[in-house]
Amino acid sequence: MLAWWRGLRAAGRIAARDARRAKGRTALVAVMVGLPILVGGLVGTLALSTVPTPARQAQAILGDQAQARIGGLIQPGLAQDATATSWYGADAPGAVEPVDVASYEDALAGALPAGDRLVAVRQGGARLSTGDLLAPGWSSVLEAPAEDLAALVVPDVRDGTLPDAPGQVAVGAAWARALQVGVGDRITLQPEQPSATGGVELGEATAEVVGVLAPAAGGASVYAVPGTVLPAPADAGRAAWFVLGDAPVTWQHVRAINELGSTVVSRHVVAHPPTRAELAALGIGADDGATSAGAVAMIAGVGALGVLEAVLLIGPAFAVGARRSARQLAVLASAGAERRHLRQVVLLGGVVIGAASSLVALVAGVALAAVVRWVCLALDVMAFPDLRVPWSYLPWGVVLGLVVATAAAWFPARAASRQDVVAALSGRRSEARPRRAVPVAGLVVLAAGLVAAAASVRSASTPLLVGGVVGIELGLVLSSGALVALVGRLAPRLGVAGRFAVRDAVRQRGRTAPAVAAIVAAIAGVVTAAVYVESGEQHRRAQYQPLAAEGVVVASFSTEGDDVEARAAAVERALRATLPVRDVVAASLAVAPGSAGRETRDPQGADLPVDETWVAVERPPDQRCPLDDLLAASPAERRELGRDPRCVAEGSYQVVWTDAHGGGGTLVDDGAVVGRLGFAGAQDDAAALRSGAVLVSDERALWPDGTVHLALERWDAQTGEHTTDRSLVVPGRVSGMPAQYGLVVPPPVMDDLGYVAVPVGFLATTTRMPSETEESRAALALMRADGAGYVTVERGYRGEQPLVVWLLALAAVVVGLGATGISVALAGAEARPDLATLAAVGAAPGVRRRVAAAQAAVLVVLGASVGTVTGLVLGRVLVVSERARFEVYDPTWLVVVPWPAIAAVALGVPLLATGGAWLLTRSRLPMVSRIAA
Amino acid sequence: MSGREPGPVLLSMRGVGRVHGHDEAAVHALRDVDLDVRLGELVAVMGASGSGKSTLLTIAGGLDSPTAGTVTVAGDDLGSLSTKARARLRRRSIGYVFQDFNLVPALTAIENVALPRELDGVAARRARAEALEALAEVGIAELARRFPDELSGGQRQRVAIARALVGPRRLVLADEPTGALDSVSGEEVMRILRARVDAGAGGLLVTHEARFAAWADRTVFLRDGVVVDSTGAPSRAEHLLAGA
Repeated sequence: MLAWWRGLRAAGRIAARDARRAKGRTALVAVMVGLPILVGGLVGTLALSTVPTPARQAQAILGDQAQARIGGLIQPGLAQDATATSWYGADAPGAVEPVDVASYEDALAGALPAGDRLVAVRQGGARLSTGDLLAPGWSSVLEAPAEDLAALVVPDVRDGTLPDAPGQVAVGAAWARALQVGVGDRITLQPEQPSATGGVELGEATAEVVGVLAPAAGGASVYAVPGTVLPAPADAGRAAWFVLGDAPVTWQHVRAINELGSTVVSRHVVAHPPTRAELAALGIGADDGATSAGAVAMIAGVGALGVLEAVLLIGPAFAVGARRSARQLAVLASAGAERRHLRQVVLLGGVVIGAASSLVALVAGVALAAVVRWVCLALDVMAFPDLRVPWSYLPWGVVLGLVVATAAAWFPARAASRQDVVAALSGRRSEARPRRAVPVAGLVVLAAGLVAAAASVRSASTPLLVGGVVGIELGLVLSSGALVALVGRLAPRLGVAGRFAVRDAVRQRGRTAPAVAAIVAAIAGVVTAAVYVESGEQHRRAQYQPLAAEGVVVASFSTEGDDVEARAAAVERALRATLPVRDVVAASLAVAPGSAGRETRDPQGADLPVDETWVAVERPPDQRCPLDDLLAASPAERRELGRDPRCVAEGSYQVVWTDAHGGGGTLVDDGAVVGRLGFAGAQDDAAALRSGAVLVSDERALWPDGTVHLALERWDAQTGEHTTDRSLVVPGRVSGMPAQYGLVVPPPVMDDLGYVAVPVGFLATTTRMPSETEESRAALALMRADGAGYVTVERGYRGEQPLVVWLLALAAVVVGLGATGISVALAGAEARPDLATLAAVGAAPGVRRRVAAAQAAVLVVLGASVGTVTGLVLGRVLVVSERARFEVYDPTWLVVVPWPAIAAVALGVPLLATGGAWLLTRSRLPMVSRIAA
Repeated sequence: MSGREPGPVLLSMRGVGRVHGHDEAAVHALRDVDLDVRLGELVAVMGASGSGKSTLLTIAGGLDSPTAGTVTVAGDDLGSLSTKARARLRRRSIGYVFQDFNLVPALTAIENVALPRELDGVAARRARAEALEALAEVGIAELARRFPDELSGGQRQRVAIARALVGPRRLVLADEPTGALDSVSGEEVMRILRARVDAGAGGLLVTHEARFAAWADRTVFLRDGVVVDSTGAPSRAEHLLAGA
């Protein structure tokens, strides 16, 4: 053992000193190993830095002074985790009798540490607006007594002061910017508050901005004193408190408050969380973060291919290094070195460079993350509250770099240990005979990969799919030597430069095969991803269900309350005032009598049990999905039967107009709405409605005799029973509308059903496409007319920019050029003696450039063509496998190839590489001399 | 040229042949070569380019295997040894000296000399001590810490000789050791080799210069891979006077 270690040290010494002497090659390898590690360190550090530390978490909620925040009464006997992120109670919420705030505060005060006191606050959400502008989204509002407000505000005050009287607010910088307000301006706040009917409505208040707060991670958006924005809590369930004082609120205090019925976020507990055992005793388990086998396989597959690519790119550098050191290695052999010593010299070069470059890269990555965070802070971007370095993962970065560099040096090391010592000592160039076993193994792995990929399509197994993809790529990599050998057969048909390049590629497969493999792997990966991304984009486009034709406006208003007509009129006026409207028609849903305007919640906010009724469309027997008749189907049965066209779903869609329960109802229309929706065949659909026919969007719903069978379904809230009240057969027509208009009935059919029409919104055609600013103003106006008012302008499918595909193409170009450039540069040095011979026999100086260009062309044309074909095959496999990913078969996944991007890669990379090699090579040939090979 | 009688046979080659290639492309580098080298004996091998001199040397050192015949070094039949065992033999018993010195440029002189010992598992300190002794033996102990590119041609060759001699090695195989040196340095190198052989080693020297072959006890002549002539100890003047 000791002897082995001493021999290893000697080999290591040679490897380290060789690395220092060959600075250029060492630097190249170091950059190629270190760059991905650097990116990993950077991304890992930034990702972890987005997660606040426990201290920061507490500070974001509690500010600098509060010991804890206590939520409103939920139910006695709660259990929670350290941060109150997860909690549970025995009974369903809403089943607790309301408790008045004062008596609950007394109980809470008794559970607090001695010396601490409760501060009652009001917390809620509000829409913010000025005369012209509506800030997007909901702001969070915190109201606290003026004497305690400063202790509870999280952000620093950047301009002005904190409020000290009702009618004043301090707003966050982002909100001030969105509303274009500063200190002294007035804003309107519309908080959510309980309605008289037990629902929720928007209140309204105006206030003066007295302070603008600096950006901060955490805290509320708006601070005020009570009486400014939010209503007083009606009971303890809607109240909230902070705890101020010097004594920490420990886990025991938290448990005591949990028993009373509230959750607690305590600074002390966040910093000193209870043990897992303590939480487990309460039934609170750690979040396992169970990761599916598919996700693990995907990550492992992508990681493995990334490592393989890096190994293929770096390998040639070690191969050439070993060849240049052939004589030195032969001398070692003559001095008694065994094959393992020779392997060790080459391998340890990889270990030394891999370890050193990874370490430097990790440090650089973390340093860069610190710089990025500093820049973000300077720009008021609070994405990274603290700089958190993933120390426990950093050593794995070094290990990864070591693995990549060592793996890249492995085959060159093996070849070096098997070199002809005598030939090397005498200065003859020799080429190791390629082993036949490797290409055969490659073909076997390739075949296995193809089988696995094909099988994954039927079985929808992600691990099998990933295994197939990795197998195909690995098989091609192992077979790359054989591919290069095949190209060698072209040599006799080529000119001098081409023949030289082809034969050189075949004879120096240790250098050229990895380069070809790297190009194949990179381009195949990129083409696969490009096909998948483009097909996914087309899938989303196919799945998109527009509300109407482009430019058409859809608006809705709440049907609750008694003043529906007045609000509807106000909404219509708002539409006409803010948008370039041509005409406006009212839209109504057919609902069961008495169901509109019913109470749906009790005063406490719990759902009231009410019967549900709806109109269902019955399909003909031969159009029913077989799955519907199966009581229990296995996943395999679901996948198989899911391919039946009768079982294909119509897809998901946005509900246009909602009934009183917030669900999509049946549109009742005499053709006025349908005719203006603007879909294909709209006028024919409108005419059908006027003739008394119903419209269905699904052709499977139409019976052979041209009728549609409707069924009135009922769900009894008391018994939970589902019944069919009655059935109706009516003339029908398949419309050209999307699935959200699955059933449209004319008024006579609605009467036959015994339903009534309830106005729910408007449809408006426009003279031109409204701008986004106009749409925003319309949203504001509708919200003022009806707190629940909603408007949207149909703008058609807005897909993702094709930037991703072009970025992938750029990546392929970079890798392709890199791999080719490395191999050609290395080849150039090795070919000096041959080029000198060419010069001696009269070759023109330009021959050197042509040789370099030909060498590049051999590698990159072979790699790009094989890679492109492989990528197209793999892309097709991935897309087709998406159809059966879920139990419901989705035939809308079609294979769509982004031919411009593919062509840019398949043609651009060879052209750039060949042209670059020609341009960057010196044309002067070396002279013949006693050149040691 | 020593007056001592040579010792036992250290290197024995019997019927050694080496063929490169097959059939019509076959090249007979060596044919039926018989050769012995004894302890205390320096044998020179001379011949034109392509006569098989270097092939003879590589086969003698176990770097190449004969296609016919046997090679025995210190009693071990090289043909029966594994690659590992032959490497061990080169670390412990056989030392090579090349025309182009073939020092490892990344190692200092003393590290180059100590290399076979370190590869053999000897502790670094002891290996360095032995290397220093070997360098002293060739007269350049003061250059121990220099790198090869800081040494002259003659000095590098002395380092190479020291590496070939370090430790318990008894058989020195020298392939044109003076080829890259000027005549003065060449004489120095031959003097060192001769002294080592006189001290008890055996040496096989490949050269194409008669003046260096004259340092040997015997000279073997190769032509087209065959020993065509051999001059030996009896022709030395001292031997003629022995017993007179």
